Amino acid sequence: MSAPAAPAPVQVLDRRRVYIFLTHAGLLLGAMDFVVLFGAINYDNALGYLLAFLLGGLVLVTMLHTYRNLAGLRFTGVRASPVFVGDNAEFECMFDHAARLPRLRIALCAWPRGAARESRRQLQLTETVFDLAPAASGGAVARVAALRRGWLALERIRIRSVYPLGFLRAWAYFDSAARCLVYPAPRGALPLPRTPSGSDGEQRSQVAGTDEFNGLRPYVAGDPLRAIAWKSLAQERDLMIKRFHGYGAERVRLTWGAVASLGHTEARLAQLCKWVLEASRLGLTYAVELADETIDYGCGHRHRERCLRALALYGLEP
Amino acid sequence: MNPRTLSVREVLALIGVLTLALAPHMLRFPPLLNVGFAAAALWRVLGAHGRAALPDREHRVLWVAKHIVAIGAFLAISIAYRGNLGREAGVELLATLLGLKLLEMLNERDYFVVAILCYFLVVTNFFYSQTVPTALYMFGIVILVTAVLVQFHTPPAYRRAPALLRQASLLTLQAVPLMAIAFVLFPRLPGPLWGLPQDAFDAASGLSETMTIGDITRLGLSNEIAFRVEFDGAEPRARDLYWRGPVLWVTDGRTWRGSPFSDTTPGAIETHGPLYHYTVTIEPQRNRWLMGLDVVTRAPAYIQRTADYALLADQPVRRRLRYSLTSAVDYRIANASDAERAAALALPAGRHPRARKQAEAWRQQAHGDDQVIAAALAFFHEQRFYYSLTPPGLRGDAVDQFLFDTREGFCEHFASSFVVLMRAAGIPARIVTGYQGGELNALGQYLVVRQRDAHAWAEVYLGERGWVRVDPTAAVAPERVSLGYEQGQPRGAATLTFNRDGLGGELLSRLRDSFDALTHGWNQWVLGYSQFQQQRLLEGLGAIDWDAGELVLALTAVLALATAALAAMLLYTQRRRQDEITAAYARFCARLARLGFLRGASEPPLAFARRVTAARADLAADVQCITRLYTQLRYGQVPRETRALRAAVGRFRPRRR
Repeated sequence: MSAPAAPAPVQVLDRRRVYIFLTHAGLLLGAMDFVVLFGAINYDNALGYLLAFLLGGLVLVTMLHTYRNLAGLRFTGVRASPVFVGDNAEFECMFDHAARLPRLRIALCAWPRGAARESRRQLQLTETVFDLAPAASGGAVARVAALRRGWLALERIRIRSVYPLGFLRAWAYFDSAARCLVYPAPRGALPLPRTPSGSDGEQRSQVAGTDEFNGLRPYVAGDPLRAIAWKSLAQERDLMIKRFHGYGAERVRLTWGAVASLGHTEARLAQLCKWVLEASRLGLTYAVELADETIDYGCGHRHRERCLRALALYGLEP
Repeated sequence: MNPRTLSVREVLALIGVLTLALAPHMLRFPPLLNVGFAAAALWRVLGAHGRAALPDREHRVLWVAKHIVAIGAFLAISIAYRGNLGREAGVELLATLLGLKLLEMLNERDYFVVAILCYFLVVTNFFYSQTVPTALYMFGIVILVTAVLVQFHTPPAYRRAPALLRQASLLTLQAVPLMAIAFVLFPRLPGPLWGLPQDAFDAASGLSETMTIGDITRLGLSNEIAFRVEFDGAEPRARDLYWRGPVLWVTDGRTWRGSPFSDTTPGAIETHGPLYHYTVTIEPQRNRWLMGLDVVTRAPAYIQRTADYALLADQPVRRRLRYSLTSAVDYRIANASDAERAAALALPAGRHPRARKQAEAWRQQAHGDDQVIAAALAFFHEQRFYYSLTPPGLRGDAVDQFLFDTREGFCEHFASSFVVLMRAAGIPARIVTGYQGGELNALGQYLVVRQRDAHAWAEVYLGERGWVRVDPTAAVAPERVSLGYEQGQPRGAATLTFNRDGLGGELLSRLRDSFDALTHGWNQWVLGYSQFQQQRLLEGLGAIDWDAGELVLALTAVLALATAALAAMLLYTQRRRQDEITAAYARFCARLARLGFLRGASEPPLAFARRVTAARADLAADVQCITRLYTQLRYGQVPRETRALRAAVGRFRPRRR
């Protein structure tokens, strides 16, 4: 079901890679602290001095605690499932750490390298907050708007935290080679090019159909739910799939030529994508024929993935 | 971070802490303000529970009403203080705005503003009190505000009150060494950076050129230093430490004013006893008056000596000033002119009828001035007069009311009513204001005189003997004068000394002595810590004559060192747990390696355990147990003790087969 997890070495946050600065609240506190200090100087008020220095010291101490909340965090990997254009690609980033204390309120978001402020807004890089129990692993999802089909690279993530007081914000970046496959958006008004049943008799027996029962076979991941032999499952046997001869199983051929009227490549891919989903939902046997690649008749989850992948990567580097 | 709404718990915690931070002020606030604040807090709490609409922009009418209240409160406070917005008015305004801010505290930003203002509120208390309890209160509030902020940033699963308080206390305690370093090394500047508001020292018993009794019902004991004195040679006895300031001659029955003779020069002084040579370092103040010991016989040219032996600088003392003087405490000044004698007998017509009657009675019974004075002092001593820093206000004839009704007051009451009695009895008398006493600084061998040592006493003119000092306050509260006292005690508290015989009394007095010592140390080392003491302390450490730049450098360096030490400590504790777990598992693997089971570089612990148990069923129980403990500690979501794993590995001694 999932796209291949990117093989990434574990990255540990060492101290040089954690950045830290005052938040707006921290700047406000700093300004207030200066007012207290100037007041103390002016009125020669010893407790005023003490409070000003205590708050200043608190900010310094907090800096260490905020830093500690991120330092030593290990970024262990990313999982991502394919999405359609217009959805958000969800990269599930996994972290672990070895510290005695929990790490709290870490905000994660994708942070493509070199992306301008405008394009970041367009990518809807929202933050997800997560916590890690002491010496435990966990993860959170970095979302990126999938704007184009093909591979969407995560490139880089940013984590940041203002724990414990919110006066300082520590942040750090992790590079990632993870990518997410983006299918074309299923769009288009053309009807599914169905042909009347039985008109195309040559290949019937070669393809698994859904018409005539022909025994059971073991379940293979990706088989349609409809084909599961529930009766045999109820008899506490293994999960079996009912096999049918393809007589009369409706077959559609989704061709590049059939969507020629749409003109634009993306529009044609979008239409084909919609057809693939429709055919898959109807349990049809379908083939996809693109300008440079043909995927033969088939059905089931894996077939669908294969077709969608071909559509996603059409004309792109694989 | 995404903006988020505030939970009920967060709102309640902040309102609670804000109320605690305001509590000392609430005793001073007008009741209306307290009621208004309580109403705003209650409204906000109900709003948090969803039981009341808050005056946000959606509820237009309430929103407008809130702004009207804000403007109204501002105007009311301005009018109450006649546009003179100093310290007290400032605190009242701040409280008003905070109360209203609570109502519009709807998001993270407002929450932070209120929390930071809670920190700020603490400082406003220091105008009124700088005692040890006030400092403890400061730490308490800082910890609580910090806990509120920690709670805000802690996910609900970790929000247990003791843990939050511990975390906040830890943060605050870790900041204390940094605070101490900065306190010692931060360069102290001489004098204020800008003009002080008019009420800056109103409650302090500092000196002014007029004195009105009955108006001030609360005399703050400011620990601020008035001046320091270094004696060159012999030092006078403690009971002779009367530091002369402005002398007051003229009264309208309530207010006393300065001398009509300030532009004349002093007459000759016949001195007995030793002369004292000393140098005074006076702190910046509002006017031209300088302080000298009792009667100054010699002063630098730029200091004018008045006919009543007070000292005037040529301009207001805006910066710390150092001058050398020579004084006598045993002297005879019997050169009063007729004009002076007349001025020292003048009383406003028709005022103080009861005091006059009393004085005339004494005059008729007594033989000579001495007996009149003795009768007056006995009157103060034997009638139930109380020395109090918070006497009741006096209306009508202040002197009569004080002498015969309230009988509670501080030195100004005693001095002025005594002078009225003397004048009524025909003895020329005047009020001397100044300071009395001072404490010897053990470190520096110099005398520190603070604002709270401000005092007022009387001088009577006794013919041949000339001007003689009489201190009526001493008749009531002897501990208030002549000793190096810490603080003027109300007479009620002073009676503790009579119980010293009993065990409990001894314990009490010992406790009181300890507290005195603590207060003294506090006054000397914290409150009295100034440029002067800083220089002396640094000299003791071998850093002589450091200027502000050098101090800032030293401060930065020491702070950096301390922060680095703290960082090392924090990160060390962070490492340890993982080390324990990994080390235990590594020991376990090493013991299996001796049997020939080498764990692959990336072999998962469970797979490794399966491989081992498949070959050695006899080790299965131990291997599975250790592997389970290890994976729970290493990958589990629940924090556990590492002890069980370490113990199990310690017991694990597999033998070859």
